[in-house]
Amino acid sequence: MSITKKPATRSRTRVKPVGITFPEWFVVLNGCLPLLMLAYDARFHRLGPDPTHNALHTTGTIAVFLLVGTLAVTPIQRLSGWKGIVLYRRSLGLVAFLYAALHIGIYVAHDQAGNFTVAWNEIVTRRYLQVGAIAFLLLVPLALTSTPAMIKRLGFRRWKAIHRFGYFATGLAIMHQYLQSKADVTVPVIFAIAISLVLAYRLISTACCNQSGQTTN
Amino acid sequence: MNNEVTPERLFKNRRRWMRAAAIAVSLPVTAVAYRRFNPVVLDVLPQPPLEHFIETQLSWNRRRELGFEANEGESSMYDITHLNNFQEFSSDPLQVVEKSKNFLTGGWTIEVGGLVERPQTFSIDEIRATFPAEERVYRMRCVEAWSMVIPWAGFPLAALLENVRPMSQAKFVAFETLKDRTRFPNQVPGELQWPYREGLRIDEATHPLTLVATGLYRRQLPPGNGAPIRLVVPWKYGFKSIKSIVKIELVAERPATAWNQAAAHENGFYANVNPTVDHPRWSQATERRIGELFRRETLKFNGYEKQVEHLYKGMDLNVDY
Repeated sequence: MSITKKPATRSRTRVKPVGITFPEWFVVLNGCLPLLMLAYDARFHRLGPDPTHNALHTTGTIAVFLLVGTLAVTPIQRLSGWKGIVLYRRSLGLVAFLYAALHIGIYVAHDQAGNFTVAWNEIVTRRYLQVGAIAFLLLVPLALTSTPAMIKRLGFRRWKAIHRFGYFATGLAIMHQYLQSKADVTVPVIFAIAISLVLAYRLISTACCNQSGQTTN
Repeated sequence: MNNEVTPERLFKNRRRWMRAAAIAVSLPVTAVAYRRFNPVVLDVLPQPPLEHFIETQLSWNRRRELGFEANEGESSMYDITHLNNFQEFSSDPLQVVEKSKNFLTGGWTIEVGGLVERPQTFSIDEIRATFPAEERVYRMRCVEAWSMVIPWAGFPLAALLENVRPMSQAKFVAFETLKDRTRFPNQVPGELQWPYREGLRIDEATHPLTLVATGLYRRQLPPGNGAPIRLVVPWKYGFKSIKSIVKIELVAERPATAWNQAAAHENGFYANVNPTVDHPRWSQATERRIGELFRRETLKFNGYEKQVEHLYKGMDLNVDY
């Protein structure tokens, strides 16, 4: 328990501490709990008369919700001054990706009976599926380059440029959700408003504070 | 300075507790929030038995031939009552059962008029007594590509029309659902124009398969399924089978119909089940039979081709979809 100042300062220059940090635990546990509940409901026939659609709808909505949440981290950080919130962002994005992957997995494996040809034909002919598929494809490189080692390898600037695609992906995911809804578009509209606010904040703060934005507040 | 060491350890200890507490508190909050948006509904509402139910006199083979008996595994009461497209209650088909459970149908009347010789207003009791219900096991194919097999109880619409004597100018039959914001929470301005309207050509309306249903599984219709009285046209997509009817009118011109008005390119007036005409947003070639693991092929006219095909002779069903 002898804590001196020197090792502390030295460790600052090292790579991030190994192991799972508290924010990661927090996000992963809370993020996977709905998945466990969904699996439980599926296993015990509690998903209602249309379990496949229920599971598709649920995983899709959670994915979009978490994507919007991930993008909202920076504005919340700057507006609230809670610096530590940024530590939650990567795992939020990865859990969102997990739900998006499950969403597509359920679609292909179950809704399309695991028939890739049929699923592919559906995806290329339906506009809302095209939009959804592109949203997912845009998320793949973001998930793959989410590690600190990747940031280092790409260089922060390039990494940041790549991760701007998160906005496109989220926008397209919301559009996909909007296009597939039959009449009630409340949920996608709420998400669209949220993402517009985030985007507006980021654009304004970049414009007036000249990039980095860590000033003021 | 020397009092910094102890607080630091305490601080670390306290932080560990706070983190444990944060997780311990957040997990139930997440669980409750998830449940709030993804409720589990398992109960089946008990429905009173249907009076004036008669056993059919037709033989099994005859019923099969006429299409009155689908001869496929019937969907469960749970499935039939828990997946409903009933916009007046909710746009989410899974929420309708909950939103509709307190729907009151006391004093219900049905006005039958327009181009008829004997316009009449029936109370629901009069309808039930005048037109005894018999069982019809029909396939139900939703435009959203799911299907069920439902044992309706009802009587042919032809019998009701005969009762009011349509005039020769009557070419179409127009139907209307109740318009009452206090009883239909989702009857708000939006995608659909209220009241919900549907229509059939008169030869479709008088076809022996076209049913006015007052029951389900020999019990009164549950609210979410269109209590107390609804239409069932088994060879057409489900939205044609209008629910909770208060008005039937014989008319000369093709009437405006709800989903057709909302999106004509998606929902035709005829809306015959047709695997070769895709919905703009999905293929209609296959369907998900509720309760089955995988998709099955969709049949032309929902499997009632033999019975109804003659109604559409000479029509291009790709145009008149």
